[in-house]
Amino acid sequence: MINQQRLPVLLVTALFALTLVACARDFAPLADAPPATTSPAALPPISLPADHAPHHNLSEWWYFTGHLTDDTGGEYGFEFVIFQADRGGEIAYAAHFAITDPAAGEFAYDQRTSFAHGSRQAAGLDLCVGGWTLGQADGAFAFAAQLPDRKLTLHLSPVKPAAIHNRDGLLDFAPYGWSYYYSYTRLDVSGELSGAGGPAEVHGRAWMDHQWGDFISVGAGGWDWFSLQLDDGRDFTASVVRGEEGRIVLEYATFVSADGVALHLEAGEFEIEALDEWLSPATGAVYPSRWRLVIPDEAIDLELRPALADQELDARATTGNIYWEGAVLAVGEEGARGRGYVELTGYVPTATALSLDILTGPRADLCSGLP
Amino acid sequence: MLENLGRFLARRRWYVIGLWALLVALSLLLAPRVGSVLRAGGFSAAGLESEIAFARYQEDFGSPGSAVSVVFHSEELAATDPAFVEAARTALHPLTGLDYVQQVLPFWDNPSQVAPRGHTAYVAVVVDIDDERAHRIVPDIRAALAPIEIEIHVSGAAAFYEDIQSTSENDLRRAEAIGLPFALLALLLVFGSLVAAGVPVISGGVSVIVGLAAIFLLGQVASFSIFALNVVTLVGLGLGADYSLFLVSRFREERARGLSPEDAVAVTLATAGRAVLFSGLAVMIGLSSLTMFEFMMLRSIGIGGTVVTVIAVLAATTLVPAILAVLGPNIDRGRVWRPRFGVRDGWARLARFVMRRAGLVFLLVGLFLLLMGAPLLRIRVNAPDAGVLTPDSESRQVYDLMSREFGVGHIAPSFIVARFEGGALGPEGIDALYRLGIALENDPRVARVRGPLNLDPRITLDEYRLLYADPDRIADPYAAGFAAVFTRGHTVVMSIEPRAPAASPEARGLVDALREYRDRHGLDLLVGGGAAGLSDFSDRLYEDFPKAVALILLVSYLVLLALFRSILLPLKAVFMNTLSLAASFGMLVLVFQDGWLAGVFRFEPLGYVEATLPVLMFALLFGLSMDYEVFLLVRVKEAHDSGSSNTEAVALGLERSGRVITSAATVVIVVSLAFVTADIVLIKAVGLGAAVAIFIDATVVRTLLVPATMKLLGEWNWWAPGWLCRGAR
Repeated sequence: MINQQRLPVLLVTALFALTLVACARDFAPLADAPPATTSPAALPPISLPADHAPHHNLSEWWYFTGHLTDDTGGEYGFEFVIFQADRGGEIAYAAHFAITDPAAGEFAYDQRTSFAHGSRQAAGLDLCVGGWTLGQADGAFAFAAQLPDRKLTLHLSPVKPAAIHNRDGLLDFAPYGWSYYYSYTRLDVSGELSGAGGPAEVHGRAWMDHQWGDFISVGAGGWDWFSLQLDDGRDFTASVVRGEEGRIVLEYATFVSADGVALHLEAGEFEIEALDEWLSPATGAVYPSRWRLVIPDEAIDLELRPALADQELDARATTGNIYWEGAVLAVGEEGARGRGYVELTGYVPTATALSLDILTGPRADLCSGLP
Repeated sequence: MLENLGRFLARRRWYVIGLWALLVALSLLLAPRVGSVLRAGGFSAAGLESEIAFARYQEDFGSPGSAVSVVFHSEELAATDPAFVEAARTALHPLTGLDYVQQVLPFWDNPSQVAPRGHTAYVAVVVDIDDERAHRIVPDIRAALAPIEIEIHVSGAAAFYEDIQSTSENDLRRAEAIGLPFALLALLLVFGSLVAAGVPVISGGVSVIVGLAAIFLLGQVASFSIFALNVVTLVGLGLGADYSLFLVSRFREERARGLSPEDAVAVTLATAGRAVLFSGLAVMIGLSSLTMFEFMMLRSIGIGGTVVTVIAVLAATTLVPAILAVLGPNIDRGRVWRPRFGVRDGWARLARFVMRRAGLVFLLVGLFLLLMGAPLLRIRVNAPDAGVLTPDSESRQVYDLMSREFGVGHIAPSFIVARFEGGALGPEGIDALYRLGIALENDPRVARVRGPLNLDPRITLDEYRLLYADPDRIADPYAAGFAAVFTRGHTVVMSIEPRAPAASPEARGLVDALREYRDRHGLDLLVGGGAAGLSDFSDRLYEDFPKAVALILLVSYLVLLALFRSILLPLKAVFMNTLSLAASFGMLVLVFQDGWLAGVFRFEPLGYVEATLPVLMFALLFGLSMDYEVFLLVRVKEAHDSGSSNTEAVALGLERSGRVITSAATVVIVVSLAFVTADIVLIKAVGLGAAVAIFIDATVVRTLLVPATMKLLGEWNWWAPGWLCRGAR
């Protein structure tokens, strides 16, 4: 009798058990994990041509700068660069293209963006960003890019082997990551430049930089980068990285002999001194302008003069920054001795953030078969 | 008093009918507009951490606005293919003409809006309409999209709720189309005449029409869930017909005894009417307990259900007596067949048989019900997601597509909102968020973390410190973009996409883990978003549920105490009811959690019972299934009060109420089963649960368990302290 009377009670208890079950869930605490560390120690050496292709690293870029001459003797400087940012498998691309026409006093540039997912990256160097293309085959490079009123298609063949920077091609930015870095310091260039007057054959000399690695920000104060191709066949590049307060935190350089032998230069083995300043009327930024470059061991003492003062790119729509990248002329006591390109970043007081919800950029036509 | 009311109604029958006709006419103007006041959601409540987290987000970042997603898919084209992009642009172009469209965030500008496989992408259409009403513009957006060659769907919470509402309305029409003829058929079988069968149908119909009009009016001042529509109809139709059936049945019984129509109406109202009042009260107690919950979805069903119950009781106790008085002897007009009336001995024989073996029957039936209720012990409840819709609905198909292509966590991510005194990206914030980010990225339950300190797992703490050393000069544009989107002043947001659906135990466990991590590290951090919202909803729901259960049990007991003037009888009734409900809940677990008979009922098993279902069912069914016990015990008490022994009173009570209870239960079961045809699993479950609970109550409990327990308790059934009996008839 008593047991029978307990039955309903058991049922009610069972009903209330629902409350307990409702609260049950798979609980496992979040583990306090050790911070990630990055060391370049175990990285393999650069392998070309395989390493021309995109990598799965945080940052990567392919830079082409150079000087062209057309059949009428017109001279032009150009910059073409593709940036790749791999963030957790989402890959954002940005590309900048600029042409300097010193005779006309014109500097024109444009920019593109696109994106891809890591899983869709192609083997080999075959990139397309907003209709601008960059490829590599049979030891040579090719790119095509356009401005509203100009289009440039170039074929670029290295005349020297790749210069592997910092001896083994690895730069240790510890604790801020690491980077591979090599350059083709001298490429023969031929192609076509189309403008208002129609297409024109162009030829000239170019410089190619390829840098990639797990670094995101090296030096909060920006950097100055120099490339120089002397008429006697020697080439030189230097990077000067500044920290937050403008203090130089990293300085490295590579000298390449006429026969293509790369020599790493330590800080102190070269000297770069800004001789002037240029105030950007567009952004208010004050950039160094005109430099003296001295490499005592190579008996080099040159002045680098911008082909145009205003070669500033407002790239806030794509890479989120404003920088100066322009053609320079190397002048010695006996006159012109070479040409080069200089890049100056970190001189604009406030960087502009890329709008992440809409990785905005100029509306670009996307490329069929985008990697 | 009720007898006098009956006489009054009989005399003023045309006035009463006229008043009701006027009410129905007015209601017919308002009831069709009820859809315009129904709102989506209703699963939020003040004080929930997920709600506070969202409020903090809005406070610091501004309101994000409602968004409708337009999803594009093609197996042939990649989302980056110009033809794909062009097609999407073409489809979206007409949206610029809609004045409430604020912004369109296209996938070609944001890699996170393209699925990893590359063939599915979505566009977020930000609209200037709040979340609860955003579902109303979904049909316009669907209609505005230009036709294109690739697959296109409208998705997101607004589309989900729009599908719920349209499906719910279709369900309702189908349930009415099926339920009403079957209910009429059942009533024809019971009464044998079209007129007699028509009265409960009229009463049920009137309850629903006036009930929906009342919801429309109340909807002007209070929020009503889109789920309220079905529940109000089910309750209105079921109770309206049920109560009317009791009255018509008693009226015919009294007429058969030779009473005049007026006298018969008076006696009917004094007896069956009284039982209807108490039954209605029991149903109202159950449904009104839903108003204890803070969630609009339950509260509005509670209000709507209570209102329609009041209307059903009023219709049964005023309109039906008036109609009966008008009909008089014509109640049997339109005879289809001639059922055998009068008291039948079969029920009494069964009752005596059961009472001779009371202990054994109690034990066996108790065990049987316990066995049926046993699956309840392993119930897994969860808040609803798109799984409540059938696989062929568009929202469900898009949900499945998005889950497959983007991962389930992308659809409803969790998020944290943290504040740091030294600024969102100050040293303290960077260190804390970096470590939290690493812990999350290393957790197997997490698919993806997005935040300014989770740009990529390869970025070190030192790099972040350098990167964000000056928040105004963040060198990396990607990082600067994240900082712009995910930080404001001292506040930072992180989005966490779980690998498992937001409703899964894994995702909910992750929310707990985040909160435990917060406590362990003393962070000023709140967790919100998909899983957190569902988790908080379920927790609060089941925090309040025992209180609602206790209230229902207590108040039901007190009401029955007032009706029966007995201490043990109401207690027994409450226990019996709980038993049948437990068995019904067990059935729900077997069907909706485990997938038994899923093919028959046309649904995909959820693997859990939708969280509101047990609450809703308990509130709805406790009163509904109490009806039959009340009608039975009223008859038993009548017999006992007339001098019969306990055993004889039980046999007589069962005998006198047997046919009418069977008939009433059949009608409600038929109406409930009509809702099993619903495409929304929640409505399907309510229909099936109600049918099962009432079936158990009208069969096993009424015929076996009640007589057995009545016998076992003997004269204790009727024991009451003296003060309780004072004033009793």
